Amino acid sequence: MSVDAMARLIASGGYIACLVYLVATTLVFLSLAHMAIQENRERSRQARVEDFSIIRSSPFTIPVSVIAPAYNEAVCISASVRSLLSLDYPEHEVIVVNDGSTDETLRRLIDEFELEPCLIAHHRTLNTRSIRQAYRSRLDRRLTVIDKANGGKADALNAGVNFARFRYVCCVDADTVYYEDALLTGMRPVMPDPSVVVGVTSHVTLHSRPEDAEHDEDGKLRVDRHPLVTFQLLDYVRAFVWARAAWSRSNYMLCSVGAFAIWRRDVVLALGGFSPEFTCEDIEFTFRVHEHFRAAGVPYRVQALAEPVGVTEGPVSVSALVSQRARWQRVINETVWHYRRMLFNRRYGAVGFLGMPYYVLAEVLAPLFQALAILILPFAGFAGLLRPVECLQMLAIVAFGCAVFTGASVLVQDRYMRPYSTRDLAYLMMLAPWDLVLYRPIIFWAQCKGTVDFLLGDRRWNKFERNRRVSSLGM
Amino acid sequence: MASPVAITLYAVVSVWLLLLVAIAVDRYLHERRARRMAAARKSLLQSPVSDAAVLREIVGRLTLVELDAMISDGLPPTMEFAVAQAVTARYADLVRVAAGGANIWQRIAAARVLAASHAEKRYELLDRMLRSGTPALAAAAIRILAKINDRRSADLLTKALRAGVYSRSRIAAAIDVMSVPRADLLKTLFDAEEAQVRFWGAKLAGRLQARQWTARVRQLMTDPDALVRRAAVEAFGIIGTADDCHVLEARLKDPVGFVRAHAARAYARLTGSPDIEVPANVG
Repeated sequence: MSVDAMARLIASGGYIACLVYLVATTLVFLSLAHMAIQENRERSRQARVEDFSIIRSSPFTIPVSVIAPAYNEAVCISASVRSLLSLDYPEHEVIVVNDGSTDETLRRLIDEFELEPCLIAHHRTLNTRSIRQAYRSRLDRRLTVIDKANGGKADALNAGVNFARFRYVCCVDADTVYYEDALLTGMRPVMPDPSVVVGVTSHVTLHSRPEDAEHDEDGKLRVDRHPLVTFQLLDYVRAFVWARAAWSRSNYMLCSVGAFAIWRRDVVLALGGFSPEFTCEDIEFTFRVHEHFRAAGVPYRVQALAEPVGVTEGPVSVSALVSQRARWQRVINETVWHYRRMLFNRRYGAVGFLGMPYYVLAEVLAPLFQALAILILPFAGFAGLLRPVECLQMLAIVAFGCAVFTGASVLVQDRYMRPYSTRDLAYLMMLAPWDLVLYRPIIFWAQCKGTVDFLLGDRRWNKFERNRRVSSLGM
Repeated sequence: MASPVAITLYAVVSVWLLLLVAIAVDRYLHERRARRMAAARKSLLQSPVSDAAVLREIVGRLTLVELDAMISDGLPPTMEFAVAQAVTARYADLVRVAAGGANIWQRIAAARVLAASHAEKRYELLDRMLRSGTPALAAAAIRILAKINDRRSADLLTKALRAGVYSRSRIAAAIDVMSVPRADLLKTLFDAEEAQVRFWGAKLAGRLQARQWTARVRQLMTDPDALVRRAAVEAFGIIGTADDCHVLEARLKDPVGFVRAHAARAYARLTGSPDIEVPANVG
């Protein structure tokens, strides 16, 4: 076989593989459309039916322990804790776990909230690194701060669960500012059936500086015009309004986000708490909950809501974004590999036949096929399979194809939640087709890095540098 | 002739443009509807409540869902009643929809309008919604009954709590928020076989400060179910008197930690000693 023929054969094979992958992922996303629309419509209507005035003031509303692990969060810890204490909910406590921070996190908490050392009775059901001291606020007795030796986010959450008093725990991030109605929104699916709903997660929107995020006169959050933050925001909208809403409807939602995850405490305890063996605890714990209940054949639900419950910090530098997304890719690979026994296993129902294959196809294999596409397109042009203009047309198809899904997600979100002003809506839609050329390459690089790190067995957290420090350096 | 790649591109770009148009049209329609609703609300608030013809004319321009949205967003009570009365021409239709239309959201809207108009059939329709087994219908019925806030609605809610037709904590919250005398209705809850019902009976007895049930609550403090004992101890701390403290002393030795913790709190409350801090999950 001549070199020319060989090149043509390789290019054709790769081209067809990429096309099949593209068509398969497109079909998967299209198949979610009906369920995503149904779920968002139903949730929006239910919100109108619910009587928030009763839930908000009733002593019978299920109380919640909010757990916020903090590691070197001095920059935004005060704003975050203030937002947690001002949550509009009849009964909740806030447990901040200072996970051996090396910055001013604990000092700021002590000063701002007038913490005093105290003895608090608690169980040590979950093993954690040693507790140095517990504090309670003089200003607000609902605030407890646990100072412990550094052990990672999962370890800090477990320490918080040991101190939690209430039946549900809400795991949050200390770098996120929450809306007043966050807990009311999050607990809404739990209240009708606490015996079945074991977990709820919700959409968290993005801003470069959450504590300074502005709202217009209608209370709508002004979209951060930094393009990198906007692309991440669109990414989150696609994930929550489209994919996770649809997965929730069939109860195979496999990722409760670390920024807002409500769990029934007895389930956390029964499963041995959050695992420090994985880079991040959130996805792994969601997988474990599904595995546990499906294997036992016990009815349960893990629900994802599309309503934003707060504003989290989105990286504004490419390196910070790569660091964050590489970690996410790594933990997805770790989790999917660990729970590979659930893949196409009848015992796990929709999780095994829909959820797991989605993760393998759209997350684990994504960097492989994206790399192949990058290599194949010029190669296909060189081998004469595609003319240069057709290569550009292929890129435009993918760019507008992504924009169609983004647009559909924004349409659904706008129809049922109206979260943006008309100007912001127009800005989001105009930016959407540029996702492929301005944002995807960064994510592709991060996914490749995360995959390589996974293969090398890297388990570091790689916390991204906070935006304000970046701006203070004049970047 | 265009290549397949070019045709696909045109198709995808067309879909994208259609989406842009859909978003713009949807936003425009939403804002137009919001303006229309605001104008109708303003006209209603400026109209005399007694002028039925004017009210009928304004209300006639609204769909059932819009009318429901206006009522649930809040109107002055007299205006709400007048508005609901203005649609009595549609009464038969509303009853038919509320009784079991295919669309549950239309059903809820119709029930809300009928309840606001004080229609005779409202209790029967709401009871049917409560027992429908559809969570959204039951949640809506609870909200409407709590708003009606009379003896008959309290009775329906108490029966629903006993039957467990929906989340008991939500029904109990609705009973709690009402202002009509309803403590006597708790009697059926104390005798229930299901521990959860007795639990809510004791909880509500405490919340409603139903001192006529002190003896029944005292009995529930020795209930075989620990959660019922906890609720009874908690209620006893509210409706008991300092003379009854000896009854609580036995609960301080209860085998279950959270009952002991609540007994300690109730004891402190009855004897007037400063509240002691005991974690709820001790035990």
